Amino acid sequence: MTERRLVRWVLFSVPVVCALQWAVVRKVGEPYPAVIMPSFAGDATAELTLLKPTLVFTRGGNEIRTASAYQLFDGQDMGVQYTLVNHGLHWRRKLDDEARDWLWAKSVAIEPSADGAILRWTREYHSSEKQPVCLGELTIR
Amino acid sequence: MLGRINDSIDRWLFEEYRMPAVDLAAFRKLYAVAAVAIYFPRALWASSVPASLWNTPPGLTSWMDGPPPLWVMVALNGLFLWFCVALYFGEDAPAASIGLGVTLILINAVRYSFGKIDHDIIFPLAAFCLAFSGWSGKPPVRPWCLAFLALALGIGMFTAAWPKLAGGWLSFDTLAVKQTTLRHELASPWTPLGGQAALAYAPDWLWEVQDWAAVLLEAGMIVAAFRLKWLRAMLIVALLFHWGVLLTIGIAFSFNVAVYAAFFPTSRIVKPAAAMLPVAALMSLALCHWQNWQAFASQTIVMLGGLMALGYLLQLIATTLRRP
Repeated sequence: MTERRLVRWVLFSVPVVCALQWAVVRKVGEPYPAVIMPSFAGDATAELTLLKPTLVFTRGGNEIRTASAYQLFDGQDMGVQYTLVNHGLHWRRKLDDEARDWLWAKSVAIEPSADGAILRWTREYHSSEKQPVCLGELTIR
Repeated sequence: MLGRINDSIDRWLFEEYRMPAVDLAAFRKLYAVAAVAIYFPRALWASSVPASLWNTPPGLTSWMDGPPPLWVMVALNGLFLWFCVALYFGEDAPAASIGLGVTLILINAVRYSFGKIDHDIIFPLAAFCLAFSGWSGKPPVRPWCLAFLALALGIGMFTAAWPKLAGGWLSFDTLAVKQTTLRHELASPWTPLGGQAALAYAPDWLWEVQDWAAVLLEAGMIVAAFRLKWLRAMLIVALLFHWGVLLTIGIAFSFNVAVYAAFFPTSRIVKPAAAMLPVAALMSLALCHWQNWQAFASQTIVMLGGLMALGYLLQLIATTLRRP
């Protein structure tokens, strides 16, 4: 087989490989939430579709049950900082910083919905701001 | 009809991306230095993270119950560095390229087994695509290697555009870029001044324009990949886009920016700065233990890419204005 012919075959296999990958991912479920519609309409609300609900993180008696959030020690400074990743929604905070509520979360709640469930959490933006702000909203399917 | 399609495909594969060997060789050096600056060392912390946090996606690490021991990560990083050095000096470039790509993918597989995945696959993919391109500087030069890299870039960008299209980024009722900027402003420990200024002063119509621009740029890359001239124009815009992302959200897509250089006459960039490349590589090695080094190097790469794109645009405007 000449080089040119081989290269052509590789090129023609690209759509097949892409289709296979798409099919496999659909079959096994996306390992992590896919961002379907990050939108902004006047408040800090994001919508995400989560295909693999997973628990999360507990610390000091506090627990946040997001559908898919992971604790991750980030990079080389893991002793100081962590990243709680929610595929696009992440917070960084020094572990020794107790000045604010944990992850600033004031309340976290999961409500059933027609599609599955909706998770909402609120927090105070800054200490000067008294009104809790809806930080995020996740649609869990 | 079929014959014409075949001819077009052949022309694209075997002629469109014919670059001078000197440019490919210059890019090889640039790529090797960027690999060290952006990635070395990587994920050494993984072995000390509790196994309960190990949550792999389907992939290379699915069979493992927890992160590998430290010596594995040290060995992988050592091999990665070895391949970077070999690639820089053009020693058996095909083997060095494949070795670099494989070690980086293995390291990333471990790093991305805790939940967070960075979308930097284009960087190791570039090493695979260009392994036999002639970027060692010796003939033959194979344009199809660069054509495949262009295609990979186009497909990758399109997969970023698709969820945005499906999710309503083009709807006038949503301001997705504003939401993204705001989310970072709310959730990150710091927000770049550009982001703060944009949130304070940018009108909604400007945010909406950015939504459209982001989708068009990402979706259009796959079309642009069919002509080197189109792709270059698109990459100039992409460089400015990444610059804007860095200045507003603080994310440095340095791995993308480094790969874009493959499509430009890199020897013209590298030649004046030839002495700087080894200096940058040695500096990266010397400072790699400074925890902010990689972020600094990444931001520098994106800033340089943005400045070059801006310079090119200004030159283009000046040339156009000077025309009678």
